[in-house]
Amino acid sequence: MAAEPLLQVRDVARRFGGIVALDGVSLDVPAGIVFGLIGPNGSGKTTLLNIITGFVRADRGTVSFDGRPIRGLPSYRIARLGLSRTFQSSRCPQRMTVMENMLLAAANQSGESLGAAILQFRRVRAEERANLERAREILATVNLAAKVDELAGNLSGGQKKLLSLAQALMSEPKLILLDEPVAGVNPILVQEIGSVIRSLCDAGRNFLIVEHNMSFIRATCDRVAVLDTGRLIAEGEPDEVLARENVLRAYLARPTAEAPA
Amino acid sequence: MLQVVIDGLIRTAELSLIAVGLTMVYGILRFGNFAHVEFATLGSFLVLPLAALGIAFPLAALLAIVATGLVGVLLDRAIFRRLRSAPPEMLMIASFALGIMIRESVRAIWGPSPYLYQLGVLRPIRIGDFGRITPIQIGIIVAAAVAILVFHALLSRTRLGTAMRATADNAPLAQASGINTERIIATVWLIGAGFGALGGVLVGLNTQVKADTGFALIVEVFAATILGGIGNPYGALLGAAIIGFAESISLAINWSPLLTWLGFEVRGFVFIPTGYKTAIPFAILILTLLVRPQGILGARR
Amino acid sequence: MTEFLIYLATTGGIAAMLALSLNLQYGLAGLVNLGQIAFFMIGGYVSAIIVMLGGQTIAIGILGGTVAAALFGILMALPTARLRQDYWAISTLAAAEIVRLFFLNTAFGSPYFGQAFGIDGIPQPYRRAFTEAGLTTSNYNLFYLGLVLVSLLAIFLILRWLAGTPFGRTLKAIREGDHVPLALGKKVSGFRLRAMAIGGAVGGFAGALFAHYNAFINPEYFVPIETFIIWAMVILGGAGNFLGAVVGTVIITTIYNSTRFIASFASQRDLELTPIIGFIFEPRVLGPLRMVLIGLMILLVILYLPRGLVPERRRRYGR
Repeated sequence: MAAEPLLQVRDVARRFGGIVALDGVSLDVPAGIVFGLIGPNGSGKTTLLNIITGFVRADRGTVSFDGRPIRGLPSYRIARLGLSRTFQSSRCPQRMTVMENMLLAAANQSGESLGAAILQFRRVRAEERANLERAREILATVNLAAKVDELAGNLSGGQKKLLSLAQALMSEPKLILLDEPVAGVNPILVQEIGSVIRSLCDAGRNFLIVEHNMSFIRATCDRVAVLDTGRLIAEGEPDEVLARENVLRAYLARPTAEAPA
Repeated sequence: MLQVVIDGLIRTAELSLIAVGLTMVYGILRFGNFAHVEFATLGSFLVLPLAALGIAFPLAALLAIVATGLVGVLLDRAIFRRLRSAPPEMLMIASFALGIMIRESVRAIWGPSPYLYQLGVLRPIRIGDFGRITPIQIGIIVAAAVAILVFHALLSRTRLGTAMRATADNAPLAQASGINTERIIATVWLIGAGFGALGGVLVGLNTQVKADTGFALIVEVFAATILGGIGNPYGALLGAAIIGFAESISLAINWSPLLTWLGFEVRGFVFIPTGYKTAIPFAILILTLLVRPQGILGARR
Repeated sequence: MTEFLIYLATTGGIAAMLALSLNLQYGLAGLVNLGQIAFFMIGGYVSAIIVMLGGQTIAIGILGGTVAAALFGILMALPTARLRQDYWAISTLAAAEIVRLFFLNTAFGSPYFGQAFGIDGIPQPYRRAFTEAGLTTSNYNLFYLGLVLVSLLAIFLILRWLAGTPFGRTLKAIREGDHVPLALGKKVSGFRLRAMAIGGAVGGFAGALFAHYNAFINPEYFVPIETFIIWAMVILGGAGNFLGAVVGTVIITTIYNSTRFIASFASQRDLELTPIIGFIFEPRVLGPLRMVLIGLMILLVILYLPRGLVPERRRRYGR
């Protein structure tokens, strides 16, 4: 494994009002693998994801990505460094088509600047054409090629998850953070999403996945870390970690707890 | 100086009643109802035909308030209930359109000229050498205070109040624990629109009954609501007091010491021109939004 | 009658520019701007002041009005990053009223220039040339109508083209929330700022054209209800579609002005009116009723036709 982890989280803490969401979490995500982050509802997984991607501020601690400190940067700048994420509820714009969603996700588009859109329209057009081709390829790998002109809002839950993943790929990120990529997805599509992620990893993509579906985690992840009430309680190979007694206890203690935001 | 206090209190009374209703509906349905201020207009006008029938003013006002509350419930059933899952901006625009419909209907029915409530001649009462207060003004302040106390008791002492607070906190959870949320929503519209109507009647008592009564107050009412933390009825009271007194005090203050202190060359007294009076709550609103958008009592999210 | 129709088409064309501008802000970027009329007012006042007090040409005046309104748009956009949508909406209403109160309370040089009096005698472009060539006011009005329609067409084409660029696409993503665009590396605040600046410029340009056409402006022209009428045009036509904004303008302008015809028609024919119909046709009732009608139409559109008469089009990429 590489000496320098791709993503390094050190002693990150965060409270909401009086509630401790994260209590000094440290985590190394190396390149080249699919890394799973699990834990019971309310254990702080999504908060950690939000802190890493700049959507929530940490009270203390550091986060560095690809050797650069990123804590405190606005989320759009973190994204531009090559850290792409999806959201739990797959919020990709519903009133845009699948292809528009994909083109939206391309990084460094000169056509987003008004000056370039007016003065360098040839370059913008060439970029659009290249992005279109790449989007078609990615959509083909996630089996959405037939849906290019469908509004994202008309897709099924599982297809929306795939579209979010495809969007994340479109920006050619160094690390992709997936927040519950298979929650509420039918079992066949779960397997499909898992194999898409595996083959992307083999092709050199890096993943950090937050998920509840244990069989998916076992089948997809090379390594997992377990959060419970804001602390990291275990880390290692999925089969070994999931058999540990303190991990089982953490899950059994609050089997039906409501997930706070 | 007493005049400033009386003006501030009356403004507070009017604004707080309207703002409480706005903030309650917001607390449950999560959208800023731009039509809410029109309940004040509607309520103040509905008194007129009732009073013309010879019904005593307090009873006529009460009937008008109840009627306006029912209109609120009806409008929710007819319009907003169908839009429960619509995006909030659609609700805002729908409420803006509805507000215009209410206001212009009032104008079409009652005509463009303002009305006065016929209450006979009431002599002002002198308070020492400080100034005067009219019985109407006392009535306005007392009516608002009683209404707010009743509201507080309702919210904190009754099962209905508990259910209302639970629904505002977390509607799906409230529904799961056996609260009929649609009925609570209807109750909130009834009370909210009714309080708005009372506020409008008080404005009518203090000045005139006009089709523009509600819309002229929209920024003040929203400012009071946001200032107090939207969704929080007690915050709305505080916000109303701040806006109400800010208007009367800032006009009465001689600003020249402050300007001198800031280094400006000032001669004589400097007052804010009364033409800018209506701009004061607007400026407070924008300042609040810039500095503390969650309101004074609101928690930072 | 023809004169009136030309007047209607000219003011309608100017209103359509406002609708196009709002469609960019709301239809594309999802910005609920309830202070749209402020752009119009700033454009008109600034242009009139530059020309009449600054002694500049009308072209410079119109440019100045356009730029001033664009700057005001930027100012309005600044708090969007920190504010929730509904808070921002009410603050735009407040901002527009502050602008109106400023012009209502400020005299420029003399008591008859500004304040409640407004500004009278605003020069009209090429007016003298028309007089010297012996052409009539009708000729001039036709010329101005042409000027407005050509400008409208240009604005329409530019905005519609803009909507298809990556810039416009990002605006469409932002209207459904900040999170996804931020996670994709888009600086959302910058996009909103530019949408408001462009919207402001178009609104200001329309305001300047109006001031130099009408030759008179006063604060009464710029009350909040005017913003609602522009909203009605966009919602009815179909938010997100620029052609829809124009269609909406035509319909709303027609309804708004048709009451005038109905009233004169009713009085000319001396119809045997039942008490209720007679009541409706009284001008003091008809005026408010047309607003009720427009409000009702908007509610019906929101309830039963939420995408408007000319729904937003999908760009197709399928092969």
